Amino acid sequence: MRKIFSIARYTFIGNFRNRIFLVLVLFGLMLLGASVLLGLLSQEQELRMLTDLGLAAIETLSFLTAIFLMGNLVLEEMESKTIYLILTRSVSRGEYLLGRFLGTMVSVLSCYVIMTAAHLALLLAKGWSPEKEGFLYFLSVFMSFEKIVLISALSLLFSLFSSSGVVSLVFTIFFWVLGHFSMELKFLAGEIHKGYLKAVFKFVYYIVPHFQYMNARDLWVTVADKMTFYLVEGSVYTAVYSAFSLVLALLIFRKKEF
Amino acid sequence: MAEESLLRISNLTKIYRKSHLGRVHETTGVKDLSLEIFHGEIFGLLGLNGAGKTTTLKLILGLLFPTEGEVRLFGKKLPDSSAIRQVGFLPETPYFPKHFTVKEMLEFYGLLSGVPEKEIANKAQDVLKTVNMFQNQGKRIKECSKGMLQRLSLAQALIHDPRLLVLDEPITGLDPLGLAEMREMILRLNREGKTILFSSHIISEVEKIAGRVGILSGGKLIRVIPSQDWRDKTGALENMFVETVKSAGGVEI
Repeated sequence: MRKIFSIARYTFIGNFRNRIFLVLVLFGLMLLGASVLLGLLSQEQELRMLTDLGLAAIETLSFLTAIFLMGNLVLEEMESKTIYLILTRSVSRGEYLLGRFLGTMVSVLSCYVIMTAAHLALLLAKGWSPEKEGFLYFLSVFMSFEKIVLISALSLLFSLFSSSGVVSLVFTIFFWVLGHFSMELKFLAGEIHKGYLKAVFKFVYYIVPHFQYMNARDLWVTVADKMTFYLVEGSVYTAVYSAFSLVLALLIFRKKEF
Repeated sequence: MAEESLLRISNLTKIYRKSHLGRVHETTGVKDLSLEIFHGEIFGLLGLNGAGKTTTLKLILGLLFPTEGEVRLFGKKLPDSSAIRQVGFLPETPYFPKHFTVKEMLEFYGLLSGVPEKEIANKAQDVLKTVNMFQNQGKRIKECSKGMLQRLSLAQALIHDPRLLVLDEPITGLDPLGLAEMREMILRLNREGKTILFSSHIISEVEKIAGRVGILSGGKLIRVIPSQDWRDKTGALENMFVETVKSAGGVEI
């Protein structure tokens, strides 16, 4: 456990001292600022607009940060050969991978918290009432981060079975997009009558992450009373999918030679 | 009394397989290599570029997996974390992430090697003094010179006080001063009880350090020569090396 913590800490410090990471955080804050301008255009619905755009900006920026960091997490260490000095010690491949993953997740979480704090400050300044929507807001923030955790685990998996960071990036983005349309995939699979095409759609439906379980932001208005159920469902789904992706990543990583 | 065997390599073969468009291309890294390293000795793996020196070291360290054969370290078949804990590795080129300080890096490697947390700061300072890097401990890696990185590289191999040191080309690329310093360091560590396995292709240096030399050619260990065979005989090791490699067909001169 101590080794996992040491590797996570090393990853976190490395990320924070990396300028690219800081640029992404800065860009996120700028995007939040831009949502104020867009909010002004909507006049009566300004707060609603500001909330939705802000949450979307936080999620998108965190997604980009996560996939850039995760996609290069092991590949970069393999290319720079810094991995040699870690794996030639009494560190198992599992400890290394888990430590790197957790360190990156803490980095992304820090970035996420900074952006959420800025967003909240913005909302409060505009007269938003936390008593009324506070619970739903934090629930949306939490579940949105679950999506980031899930896609990060998937991104790590893709980065391990391709030798190029770009390929893994493309795959991750593809799964991120498909994951938001999983219900449409299911619908299409039901509509198609050709055997093989139906099978393809069904297969894709089953393997892509179902982000609708975590889309509290979109369900906020319509099913506010069922939010606790969605929270449990989304959390369990995230945990299972992420764990499965990490186990697969580890199985691939254990076979890797350097 | 029989000498204590630290490392026993038996019939080790490594074949690299690369597939491209369905065609598999095989390259032999090491073939049927058997070797034993004893406690307290300095063993030099000598060979031309591509002879299989680094492959052999990587197989010992678990960075590569053997196609056939096995490696036993301190009597334990690899991979074994308790055995690898007693090994310190110095890579050919110092590889460090650039955003950290010398001290941070060393403490990190120490913790991964099982040095207790409360001892790590003192241990890091001791090792930094040993390699003459104490005054540079606050420097970021990206601010370090090549010589400093080389010394830090040695420090990270020593931080956990290993019994076996595996050094990949430790003298390649060093200036005359650095070379003498590294040679002295290797001999001193050996006097302090560490067993040393190193690779090199610089014969003039190997003959000053090694107690035994193994000549690798085309991935095969062709010959093992004890130091008695070349000590006090000018150019003897070089002649033996050239003769062995030529007869093995590993070079055209």
